[in-house]
Amino acid sequence: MKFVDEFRDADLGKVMAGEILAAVEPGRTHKFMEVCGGHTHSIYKYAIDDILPDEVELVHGPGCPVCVMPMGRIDDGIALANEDGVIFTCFGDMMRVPGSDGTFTDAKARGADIRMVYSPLDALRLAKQNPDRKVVFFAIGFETTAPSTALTLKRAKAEGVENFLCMCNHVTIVPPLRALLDSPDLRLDGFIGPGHVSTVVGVRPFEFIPADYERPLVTAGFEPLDILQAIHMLLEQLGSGRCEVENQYKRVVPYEGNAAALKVMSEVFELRPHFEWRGLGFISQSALKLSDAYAEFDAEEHFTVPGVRVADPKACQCGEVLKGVIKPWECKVFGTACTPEHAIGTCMVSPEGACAAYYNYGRFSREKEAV
Amino acid sequence: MTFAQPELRVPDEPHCDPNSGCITCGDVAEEMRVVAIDAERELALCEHASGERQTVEIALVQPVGDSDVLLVHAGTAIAKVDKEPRTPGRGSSMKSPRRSRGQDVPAGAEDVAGVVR
Repeated sequence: MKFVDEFRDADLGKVMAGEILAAVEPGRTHKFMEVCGGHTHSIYKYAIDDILPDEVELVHGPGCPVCVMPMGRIDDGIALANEDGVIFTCFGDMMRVPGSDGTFTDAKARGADIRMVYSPLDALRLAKQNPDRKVVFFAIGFETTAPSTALTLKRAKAEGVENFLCMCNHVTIVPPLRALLDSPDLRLDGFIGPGHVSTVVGVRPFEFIPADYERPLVTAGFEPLDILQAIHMLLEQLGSGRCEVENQYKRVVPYEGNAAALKVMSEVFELRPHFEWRGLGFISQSALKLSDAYAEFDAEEHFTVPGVRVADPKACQCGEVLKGVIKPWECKVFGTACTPEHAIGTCMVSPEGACAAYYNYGRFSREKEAV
Repeated sequence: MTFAQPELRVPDEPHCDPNSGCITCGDVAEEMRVVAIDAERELALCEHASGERQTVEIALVQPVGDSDVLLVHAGTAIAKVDKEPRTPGRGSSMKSPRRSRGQDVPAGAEDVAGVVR
């Protein structure tokens, strides 16, 4: 396929793997974190770690908004879905995320009217089609998704759609990165930056990483050659003593981001004082809520939600996986009690979660090694 | 020759397309070409390389013209894509469309004028 095969060219990939090998410092392990789940998915899907030298280790980051959603928020969503007259809408990847009393799929089986949508606009359309019902949209995602929710809310306001509500779970990428960098049990040499978040926020917000923590970051695309090139750029920085933010994904990511998207987000959202992240705990100013101007659309203002903090199952080690402290297969329940069909932890639910990505692709090569 | 892609098990529950990633997670967006524009409502009918069509919010990437390639996430275009990029290792890089979320096309998506219904 035009414009795809070029970035999946295995011969060119081998050349780049050779360049990476030439750039590593022998005997030293270079640990790079890919911040976003899309990269994790690509790394396992294309077995990129198999062609990297032993000196390069990839650590999977917290950039999967489904994976970092705490169980209590799922319970809150289910409580909203159980309200009389509510049509509850969410993206498909949320349907199987477990709360303390099952998933949205379970709640739907018990009678709640829960529907999967592909965009916030679909939820708004449902609201228009069902004027006698309240349609709640479970908004989730980093800065890539937040503009879509913001535009939909603006449209709802402009068109006077009064039965459309939003339960806002949007999160921001910089605060958890800072929390990770402050974490004493994490040793990293650099970051592969999130490509599509950066189309919105730009590259500038990541400059604190080299400035404050002396780690390089390269914003990268999602195809195999994008990721290999980003790793090479990181190694080149380390080898030459540079430490800065670079942009490998220039074909899409402008340095300053998308000003129109940032503007609409600032109109519709404001920062929450704090928000709980699965595995990372409470992080201040790391999530968004609806601004006062849009409070009429806030489902949490309209209905009472339990708001109870729920501890993760004891067997689940998603927190350690999200911080890159352990690999997916090192979790006690990986592939046994916890599988994509019956997930205990969020990392196994989303295809972008490190555990699901590894379960779907990576385990084959490890099984081969074991044989 | 391209990187091999192993067959996937498809989960038995409603789900975003596991072969291409999900909507919210992992920062996933897809590239689509503009087919028709409803300038007044800032919507466009866009087509993916797979042939799937979808109505897309274009307010954040204006001005948009016919045949522009947009990066689309959850029904909203968040960036324009360079039309004449070059391959990595040859000085720059090329665009990399990700597969769409699935084959479902929202009802009425073929009709730009009837999208936000």
